[in-house]
Amino acid sequence: MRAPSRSPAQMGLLRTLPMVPSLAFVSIFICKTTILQILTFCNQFDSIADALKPFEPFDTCAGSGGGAMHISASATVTISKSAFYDCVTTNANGGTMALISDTPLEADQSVLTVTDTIFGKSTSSHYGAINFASLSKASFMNIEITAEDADVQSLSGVFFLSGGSMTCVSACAAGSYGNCTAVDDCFSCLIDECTACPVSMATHTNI
Amino acid sequence: MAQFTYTPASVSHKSITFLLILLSAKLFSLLSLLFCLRFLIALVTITSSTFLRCTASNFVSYGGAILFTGTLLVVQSSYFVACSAGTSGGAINHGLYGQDFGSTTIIDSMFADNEALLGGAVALLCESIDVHLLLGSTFSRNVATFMPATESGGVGADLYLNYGMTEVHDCTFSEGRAANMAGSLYSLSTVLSISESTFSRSDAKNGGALTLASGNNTIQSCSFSNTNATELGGAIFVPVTAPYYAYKNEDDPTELVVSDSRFEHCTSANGGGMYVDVGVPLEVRSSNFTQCKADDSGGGIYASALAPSNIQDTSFVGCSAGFSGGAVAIVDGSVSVNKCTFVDCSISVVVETATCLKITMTDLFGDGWFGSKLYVMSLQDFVTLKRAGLDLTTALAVDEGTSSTDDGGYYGGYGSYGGDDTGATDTNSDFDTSLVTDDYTFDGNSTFTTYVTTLTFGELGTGYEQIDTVCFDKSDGEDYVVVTTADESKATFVLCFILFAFLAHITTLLIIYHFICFVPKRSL
Repeated sequence: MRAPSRSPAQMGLLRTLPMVPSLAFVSIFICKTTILQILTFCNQFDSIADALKPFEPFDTCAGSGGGAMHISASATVTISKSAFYDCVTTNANGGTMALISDTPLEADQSVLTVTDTIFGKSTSSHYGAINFASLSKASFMNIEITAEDADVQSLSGVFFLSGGSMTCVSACAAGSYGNCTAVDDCFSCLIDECTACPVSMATHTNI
Repeated sequence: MAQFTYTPASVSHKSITFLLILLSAKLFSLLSLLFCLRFLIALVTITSSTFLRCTASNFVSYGGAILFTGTLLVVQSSYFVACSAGTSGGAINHGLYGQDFGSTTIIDSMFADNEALLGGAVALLCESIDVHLLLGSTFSRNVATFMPATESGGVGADLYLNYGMTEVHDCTFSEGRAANMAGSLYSLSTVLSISESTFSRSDAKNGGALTLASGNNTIQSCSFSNTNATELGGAIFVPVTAPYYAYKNEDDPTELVVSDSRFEHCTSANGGGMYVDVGVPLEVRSSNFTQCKADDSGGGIYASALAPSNIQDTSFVGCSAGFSGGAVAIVDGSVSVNKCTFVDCSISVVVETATCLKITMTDLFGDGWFGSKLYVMSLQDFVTLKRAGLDLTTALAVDEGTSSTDDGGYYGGYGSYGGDDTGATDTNSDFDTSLVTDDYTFDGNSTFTTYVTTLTFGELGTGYEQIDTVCFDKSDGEDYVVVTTADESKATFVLCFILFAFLAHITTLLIIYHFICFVPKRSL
């Protein structure tokens, strides 16, 4: 049997046939690249679309805040036997207090020590319903939050810590404990109310 | 018979002692006489008098009504109205710079509508530690004017005190106006005591009522209400430096003790109640700050790098600020706050003046042709953000609506990022160049505090540029509309055409492949 003869067109097509997968591969690759480019381009539109969304509040106000007190630039502040009521920040941090440091270096840190102090209603539209601390040292001892939870509100946190350190303790000496309630990462304790620890339950530190 | 025994030594001793006592007495008498003569010679008492529209009109002139260079001046139950002087002491000027000795006593007198560069009503310029007394007097509507030609003056609308020990008791100060410092009283006194006095409705650039530039200052049982400073210290300003013409004694440190005093409705940009500057020890006791307000920081008190200070038994009610520290702003320094009450204090940062957009701009091919372009338009002006083909020198330049005359906060800082705008005509551009990297990628706080007319980006030679946040001022109440331009449409068209061509190409190839490989052959 003789092989059927093929037209020149068929012959050319058969010769190019092995190249089809590679051509397809190249095409798909180019297409993919193009699609990625288009997606990138579309992302740009997304950004523009974002820009067209309702404007968000200016959220880069780390330097602002402190409805009652603002402490910054390596300041050392001690607050004792004081009371804060109905403090509020709008578009800023720290409903009652804002503690700011320029750098995280020890020498540059602002230091706040609060003892025997009462906090009432305190709200912030940004961070830290009562206190906002950034790269600073905050210490709360024997403080009481008298407001209801609903009156201590912020975008995030009651004692918002953005770098630095914060300690919270009651005023009770070792061997006794306070009447405290956990609030965020701190405690609200009835001022100067301490109860002796039961036998065998005492610790060497106050809580 | 008694025998007289001569003892020369004892007699000599008694005689010398007696002579010394005698001489001392004589000397004391002489000194007392001289001292009294001093007063007799230089004592002036003015009682129950009225000085109306008196003027010392020379360019350099002192004391519109009285220029006194003697030692002791007593003014009692007198009126000084609408007097003026070219330099100091619109009504009374006691002493000249360099003059020693000089005590002034002003009792039950009134000073109204007087005017001078320093001490609109009274200037006490003697340079000695004499005692000045101001008792039961009233100061109203006095003015300390500023002289632009010499850039001097505008200090102490009612009183200008230079050295000495001054006591102000039971006085009333109202509606004083100082172009520079101290809407009521400017003090360089060594010791100043103000008690049971009221300050109201006075204003100045710094120190709405008081500027205490030196010495040991005590304020007790005083009232400050509706005093205003456009910059620092709505009621009290304690500066670390003084203007050159105020002759501050740099060796005389300033201290301030405020007790049993009230601050109501005092306002300023920083430190609505008081602004206390570097190194001053401050003590505030048993005082009230009510409805004091700062546009920026420290509604009640702004304390900058104080020496160890104390705020005790003090209440802050309804104090507010526009940026930080509704009641108290403490910047550096050491402060103890004890037994204080803070009620209804607040911060309200006005964000309407900083509307932020998040924008990503991509140059697809890196050739600057298919760049993104974005217009942000207001009713009055518009912002153009364009990736390609535009000159950076005129970009970012026009950032507060002053058109091409504005040389820009951004490019003005080129090569020295971090600085503010240095443009000659640009007074308030605030593009935060500290956050701008070399490839002009803006992130975080790129902020325009005033609204922008045209914002463009030059050819950067990189394929990607990003602006995370750009803020536009809306203080003018205008809304901004963000629109894209034809560039995107053009790019979209071209890219879609390319995509379509590729897809068509692939489809064609696949069809051909399908027909060749899978379509059954008729015969082989």
